[in-house]
Amino acid sequence: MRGSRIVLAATSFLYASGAVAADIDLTELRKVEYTSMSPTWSVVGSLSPTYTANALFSRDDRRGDFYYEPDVSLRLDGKLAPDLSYRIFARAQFEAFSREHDGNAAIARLGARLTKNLYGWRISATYENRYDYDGVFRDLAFTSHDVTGAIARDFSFDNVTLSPLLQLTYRFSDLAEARRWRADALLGIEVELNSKWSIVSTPFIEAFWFTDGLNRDRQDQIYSASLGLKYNIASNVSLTTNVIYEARNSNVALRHYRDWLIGPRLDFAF
Amino acid sequence: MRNSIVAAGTAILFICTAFAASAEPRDSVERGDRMDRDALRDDVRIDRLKIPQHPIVVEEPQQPVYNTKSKQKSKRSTDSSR
Repeated sequence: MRGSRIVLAATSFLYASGAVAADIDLTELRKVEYTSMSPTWSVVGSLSPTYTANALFSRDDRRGDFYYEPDVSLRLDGKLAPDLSYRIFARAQFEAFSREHDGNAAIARLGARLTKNLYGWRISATYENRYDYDGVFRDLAFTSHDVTGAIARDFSFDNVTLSPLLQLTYRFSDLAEARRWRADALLGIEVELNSKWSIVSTPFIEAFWFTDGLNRDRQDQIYSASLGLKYNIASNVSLTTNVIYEARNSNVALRHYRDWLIGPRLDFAF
Repeated sequence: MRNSIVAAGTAILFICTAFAASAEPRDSVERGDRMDRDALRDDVRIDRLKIPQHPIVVEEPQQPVYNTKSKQKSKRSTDSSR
């Protein structure tokens, strides 16, 4: 009795499936734009040994040195709507000098970003809780809360990709001297020579307006430009050898400096 | 006595302020500047990499959306053919 019920159930299931299959008209399936809303995680970063001609950002006492700079981020990316995405991230970075240990520094960040795609532009708002250390995570120098608004886009013409970025940040900090506005304008340029090699360059302008403490009314501008050759080792790993020139002007004469940097940088994403 | 204490205090305060104002150019506030600049340049380059994304929750495959009108039509046509 039980056996016949099982056979009956199985037969009716097969018939039912057949009926549903017959009702599906594959030519009339509606096309639906599908966007995954499930969050995903990734690890991205870079490693770079670099030579700097001015390790301590000094106007008069220029000391050249090699330093090593790893930068690693853990990201959680997701979408709230097809054109609205979020990112939660943790990022750690440090500079370790071979001789000028006074220049050693580290930063740890925790943050969140909301990005809206509008007419091809990426408009984002970011909050970052940040810890700046003297030495490689040795002494906590100050803690900050950075609030940033940014707009960016990629333009592609044949083998050239241009990536302009404009952003404005205010830093709230427990150290009065660190509180300031910061405006950035940069243009990522990549000229693809073939599938493996590209020429890359990034002209970059930064402006700082310090608002508190001993730095009140101090205004700095940093101009820099990089030129490099990039080799794509894999779709998620690239090696770029860069030469960078940077110069800082300030209304505090002591803060002027200029610097040359050269070195390879390995970028990765896993 | 009191005057000398006030004078000494003022002198110490002046020296401290002078030292703070003429601190080493690379002080704590700007130590991270170069890393910030590198971080932004890195972001531009990393965005051009193909970033593997590991889903936290594996989603079920999307179900096709059926056109119910055509289903009704096909039913009717089957009925009329009988």
